[in-house]
Amino acid sequence: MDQLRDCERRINDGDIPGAITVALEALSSDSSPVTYCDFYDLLSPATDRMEIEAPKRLKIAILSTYTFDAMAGYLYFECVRIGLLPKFYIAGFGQYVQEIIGQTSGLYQFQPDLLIIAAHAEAMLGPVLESPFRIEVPKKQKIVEESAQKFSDLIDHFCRQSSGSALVHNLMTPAISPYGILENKIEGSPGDCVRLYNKIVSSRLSDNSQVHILDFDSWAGYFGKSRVRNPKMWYMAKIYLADDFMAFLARVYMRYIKPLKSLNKKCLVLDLDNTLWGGILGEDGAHGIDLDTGPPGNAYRDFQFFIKSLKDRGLILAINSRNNFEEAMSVIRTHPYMILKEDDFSSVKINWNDKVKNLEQISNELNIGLDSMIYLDDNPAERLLVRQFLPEILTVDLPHDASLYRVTLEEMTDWDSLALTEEDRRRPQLYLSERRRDDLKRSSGSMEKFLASLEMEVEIKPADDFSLPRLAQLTQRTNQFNLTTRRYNEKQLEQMRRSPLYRLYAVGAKDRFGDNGLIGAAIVFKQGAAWRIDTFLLSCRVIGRQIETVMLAKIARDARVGGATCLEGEYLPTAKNNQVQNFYAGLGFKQNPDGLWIGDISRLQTAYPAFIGVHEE
Amino acid sequence: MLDNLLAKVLHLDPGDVTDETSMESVQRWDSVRHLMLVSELEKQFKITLATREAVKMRNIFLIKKALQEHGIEL
Repeated sequence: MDQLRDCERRINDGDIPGAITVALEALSSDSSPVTYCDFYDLLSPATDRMEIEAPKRLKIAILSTYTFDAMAGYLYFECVRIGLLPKFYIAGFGQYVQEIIGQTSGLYQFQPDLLIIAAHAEAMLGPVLESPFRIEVPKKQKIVEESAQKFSDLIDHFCRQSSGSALVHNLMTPAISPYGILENKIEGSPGDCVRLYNKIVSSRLSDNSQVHILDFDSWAGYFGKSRVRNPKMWYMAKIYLADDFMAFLARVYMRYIKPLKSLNKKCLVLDLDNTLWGGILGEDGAHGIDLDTGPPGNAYRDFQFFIKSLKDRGLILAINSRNNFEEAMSVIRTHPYMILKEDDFSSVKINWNDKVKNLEQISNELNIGLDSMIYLDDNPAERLLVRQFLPEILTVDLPHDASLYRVTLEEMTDWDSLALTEEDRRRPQLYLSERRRDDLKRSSGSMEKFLASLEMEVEIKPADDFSLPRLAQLTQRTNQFNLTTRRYNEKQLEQMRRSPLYRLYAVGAKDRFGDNGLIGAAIVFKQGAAWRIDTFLLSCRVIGRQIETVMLAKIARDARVGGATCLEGEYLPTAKNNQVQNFYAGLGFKQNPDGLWIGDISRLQTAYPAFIGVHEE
Repeated sequence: MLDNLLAKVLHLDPGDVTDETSMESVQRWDSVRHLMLVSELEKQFKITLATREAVKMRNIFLIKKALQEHGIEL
């Protein structure tokens, strides 16, 4: 109560950050639905009124077949906890069809960035679940198919009307149905019907990059289906989900929201002793540490399998450990149960230095921001130190029992991404090659010699179906070498690609150390004699290699062929892109009074650097 | 315990609560808060209220009566 008053006073004083701190503290000691509701009712009107900068802004609409208002409170604070200030639009239950069909419905006026659609099986499949023995199997299948198609049509309709993402719950199969133990033995059982529905909706929507299907059935199973619902609240007020489950589900939503706002993590930094194996190498020796197929070493081995899979899906791994380098490397290289190998780590800091300093070095070496890093260490004192000096890093409290290491990492909502591209899978290898390039750079002496010795090949061609998802990802993720930081989703890029007014460039690069994949993008708006460079960006891992010179030369060549006389460039400053503020000036562009950079094509450099082999289309 | 609960869910000062305090007289006590009140009562007193009981508890007197019927001494 006192905290609620304190929060209110701070809001009245205009101290919103202070009010947020009070609310989060109150919720960490009392997470009851009433407390969530009170603080949400107090804070959200205040943050709704604020002007919010784009990275923190998020408009979430929720449509459902049941009363779901309480979700706003849970999800609001999950978002606030990571610095977002979301706004909500919640339509009354059962309004989802009208909201999506109506051209001028509240949903579209709200212009959601994210639409959550929560439907329950009974609403979608009514009679099939109510009287399952009384309907013939083919009839049931027909009902299911029609309902699934209708629902998918509705989602497609939303995607045509809005550029926001849709997060769609699938339906929960009943844990206990009137078919009882014959549920999985008789065709057309309630479970069968729900699974068929889910399958049709998934296959109808899986190609649509705007849509993400939340496997509600699976998450409900993980949480425990017997605790997912609160029957009393259902019968009293059409509230389908129990409070505890809603709080859990809000955390599941964060797995989507974090990558949507580019807040998912890119790099996992690991301690060694009592983290990747049990015991202390310096004391127990290589043969004494716990890492085995039996207890207690099997928990560490299983933990390593999961970490290795995260690496396989694109997370960068690094080591930060206090140990003798040779001794620890020898374990990594030769221990028979070590799952993670030397090449799995893109950066290795095994020394007796301060762990904070090591983390800073890892961040510099890999060119990954501290705010994109997760740190795992069993030692509470080290964690405290890292939290204090590097609060941007997500430092994780590993549990006392290593049996729970793996599940701790599994339950984190920070490593998901909305799609897995080929680039993602290759990323760790790219960073490893980068480390080797750095070694070469140090040994080559001059920059020119280094660039020449890289034997670079750059491919620059128009965007196609294969490159479009990656280009969207680049516009969403690239912060440093990005002149305008305009974020586009696949749908928007697809529209531009089809328009004769735009030209989209996809840039790939490789060198003697490996293929970097697609690392650059440019979007040019062809407005007659002046071609406007709408987007010009380069992944941070290839900065400083003159690839940008190739890109601009290519654009200038194409513009000349297309009859243009000048290029127009913009620099829109953000907190992270000041390294490119003089980009256009350096290439001979002149700034006009509007702040636009104008490059006279007859004077622009159109030759490619001699040390880069360019393949163009 | 009931005083604390009413303060938390309905923001009622114990001094202002009488048996007649009801859904009609307390603005915050709407249907949503009523559900929260039912959940909190169940949690705090470790009882299960039947839906039939829950919908009837529209004032403090009826809440006390329901609790007493569950063997809770107030």
